[in-house]
Amino acid sequence: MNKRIVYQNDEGGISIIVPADCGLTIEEIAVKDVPTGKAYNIVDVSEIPTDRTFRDAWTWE
Amino acid sequence: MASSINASTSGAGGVITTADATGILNIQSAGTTVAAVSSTGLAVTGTGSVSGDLSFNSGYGSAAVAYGCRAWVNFNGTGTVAIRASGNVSSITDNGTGDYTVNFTTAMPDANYNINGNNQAIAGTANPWIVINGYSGPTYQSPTTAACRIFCQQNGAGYDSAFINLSFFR
Repeated sequence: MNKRIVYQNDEGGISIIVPADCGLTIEEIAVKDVPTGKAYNIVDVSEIPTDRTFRDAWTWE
Repeated sequence: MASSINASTSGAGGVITTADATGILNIQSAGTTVAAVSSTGLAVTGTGSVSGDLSFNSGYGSAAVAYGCRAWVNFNGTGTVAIRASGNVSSITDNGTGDYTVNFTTAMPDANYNINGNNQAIAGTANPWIVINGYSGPTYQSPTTAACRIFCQQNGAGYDSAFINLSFFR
């Protein structure tokens, strides 16, 4: 699945959900695995940087 | 061919039996064999479900209750983080460097499950660890029935590993 779910976490950074091949749609996974009440975006994997050198400083706008 | 016992799907219901001389007995549902009994034992080809305890020997020395791996995942934590293969895992959450949450497709019956994990070290260094419950400050999180947060560290610092393997037993 070439989609990712991005949301702002409570620690000041962003969390990125990587879906498994589990029979659920990306929307179903978002509803289930994003913490309750958090706003999220479903994005294409190509929008996520692959250089993780400064991963903990990533932000999402 | 084999002798078969098949549950009828007709309105009349009942059991349909066919016979031959192979010595093999097929147990069928709607014409599809789900289990076969032969001289070598029982072979289940359909999906099995045992509501009681499942015991087997398989070299253990005697038949003993087997405890199942209820979820597992193998994923790459570098570059484009991606799951290679998994069972009963709906997703992993990348929370930061070496910081991941495993989300279960079907929740555990309680949070008292056993967690096993290993990861690939960075070449030329030592002491790769996987720590349960997150990392520092407010991020410490106990395992829940829905998810388990882990942290990969090496020599005291978080790092991304190319191979992270986790399994959950209950």
